[in-house]
Amino acid sequence: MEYLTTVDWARAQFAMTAMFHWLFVPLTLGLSFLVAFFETIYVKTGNREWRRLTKFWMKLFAVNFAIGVATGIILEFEFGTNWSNYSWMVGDIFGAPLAVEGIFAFFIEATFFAVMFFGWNRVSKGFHLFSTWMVAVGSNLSALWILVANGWMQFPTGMAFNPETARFEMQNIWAVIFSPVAISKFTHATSSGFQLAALFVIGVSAWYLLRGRHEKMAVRSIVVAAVFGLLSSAFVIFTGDEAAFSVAHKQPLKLAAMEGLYRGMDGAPIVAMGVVNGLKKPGDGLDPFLLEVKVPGLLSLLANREAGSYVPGIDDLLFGNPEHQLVGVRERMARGKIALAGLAHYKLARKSGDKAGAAAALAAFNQYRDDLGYGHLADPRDAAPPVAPVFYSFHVMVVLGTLFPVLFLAVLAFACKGTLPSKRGLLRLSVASIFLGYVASQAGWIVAEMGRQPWAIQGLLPVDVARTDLTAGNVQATFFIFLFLFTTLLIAEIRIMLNQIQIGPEEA
Amino acid sequence: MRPFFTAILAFYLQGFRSMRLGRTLWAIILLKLFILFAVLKPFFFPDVLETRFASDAERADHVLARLVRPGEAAIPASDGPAATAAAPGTGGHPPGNRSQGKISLGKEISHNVRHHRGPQMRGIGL
Repeated sequence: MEYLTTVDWARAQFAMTAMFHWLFVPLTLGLSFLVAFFETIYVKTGNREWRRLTKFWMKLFAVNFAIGVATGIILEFEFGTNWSNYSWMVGDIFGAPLAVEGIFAFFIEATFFAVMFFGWNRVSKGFHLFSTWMVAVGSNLSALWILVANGWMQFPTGMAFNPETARFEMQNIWAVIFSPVAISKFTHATSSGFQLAALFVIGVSAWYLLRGRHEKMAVRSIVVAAVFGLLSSAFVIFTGDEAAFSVAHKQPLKLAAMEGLYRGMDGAPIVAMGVVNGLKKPGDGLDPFLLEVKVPGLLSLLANREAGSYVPGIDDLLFGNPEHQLVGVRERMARGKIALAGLAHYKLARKSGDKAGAAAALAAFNQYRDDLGYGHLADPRDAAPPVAPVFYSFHVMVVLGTLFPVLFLAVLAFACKGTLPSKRGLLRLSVASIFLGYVASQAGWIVAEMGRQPWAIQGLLPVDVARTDLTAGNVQATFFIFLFLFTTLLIAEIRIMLNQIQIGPEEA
Repeated sequence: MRPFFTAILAFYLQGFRSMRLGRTLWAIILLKLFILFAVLKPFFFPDVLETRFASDAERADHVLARLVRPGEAAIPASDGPAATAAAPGTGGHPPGNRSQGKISLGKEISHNVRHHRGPQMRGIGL
């Protein structure tokens, strides 16, 4: 492990923390809505079986929430310690969304969350239901602010760099909030969370059916979750398409890596299945795949809404393609170096009181500031994300995301026919799908984050400059502390969750 | 007003008292918060810029210095889009190792900045 540098350890630690955090978040986002649906049915029908069912899923929601709460705070610790340059530079942009998130979370958790859990029989049915819905809406809105911050990193907009303070300053909060990347990130991430929650409810209910326990409750839960899952799946496909379109235009290298496309072409295909050639490097002329099954024109359709259109490949984006007016990274590196030199000269000129020199340096910086980050690269190939993990993660996510609606449809159909308890193979698959839901969800984030390497802020700040000047050993120590802490928490969650599932809903 | 606040307080107190699974979950939450804020944050996760520098001006200088440091790297001689397109048999793609004869951009950059002009650019706009 000696070959791993500080930035590798800092990235690994951040990835581990974020992935661990994301084990809990999507279930919270989706299960909160499912609980609200269950309770709505109870309030509408007055049937106490639905109340019993609601309270059971609410209990599992609480376990997930309690174990997951505050795991996101660790990311903020890591910003200050491992990513201090980055934190300093983006403090003005992230301050607002994160503060709003904190206020939202506090008020929702302190008020409506308490009513949701303590309020049975103590507040009116209507107010209790309102509180449950508020928890669902509030949790999802809370996610909005975090995803807006992440969206800004993928597509920085609505800001200006202040060379005096070395900070990106917010110029237009609406541009940040309504950036197409932030919106597609929010809608896709939350809807995938709904899908995961539907899989969770169906999986746990399927386990009861396999055991012949709480069958009525299980089938009812499955019907609601399957309908919710199907609607969410339609939304996931729609938002996924929007996200891909947005990536194609804002982060074309990420899209090229997602499909292992090195040489751009008209009518670019999607690789339905493929084995990436591990020896392939940008510009070397080797075949990118050892094995591949392609669907012609589909990538062009996804990227430009036109099957015959041109989609640039990694080589075109790295080395330029004059035919398609694509500027290569080398040229952007040269511009970035001028921007950086302008910044350096500006600082010196300001110190020495040379106003004219400062103005000229600032003008040079401003001319090429959009390529600021490229000035840090040593080779055009450094701008390419790692293809294999991005390609495989993307395909795992898409394949699983396509299979889930089939599962939802199947369990719904058999549940409506009343034959679901006898379909033991399908029930076993439903239980296994809980795990697969998490795999798809995590894979999505791997695509989003590894696909934008080497950038902490797209085009402006590479991860190596964003990090703190620490030794690898410092970060290594905390990495293993977190690994221990997270493993312990995960074991606690799984044990408590399994225990509660084993106990089942309270007796009628 | 007083009965209203008393009622809310009673609502929370009674709620906490009647918890069963909730007690375990709260114990986990409190233990976790203790580990995070009383152990990890002070001993392992200092805010580096906050602790190393006395003022925001110093912090800004430090970050700016790190940001403009990369000029030290020499990069291969420019082979922009036109050059790669012109190279026979490359089809606009890089012809293997073209990076002999590295130049330091230091002078070029200083020159460009002094005269406030950019590098020779073709086909701008992505």
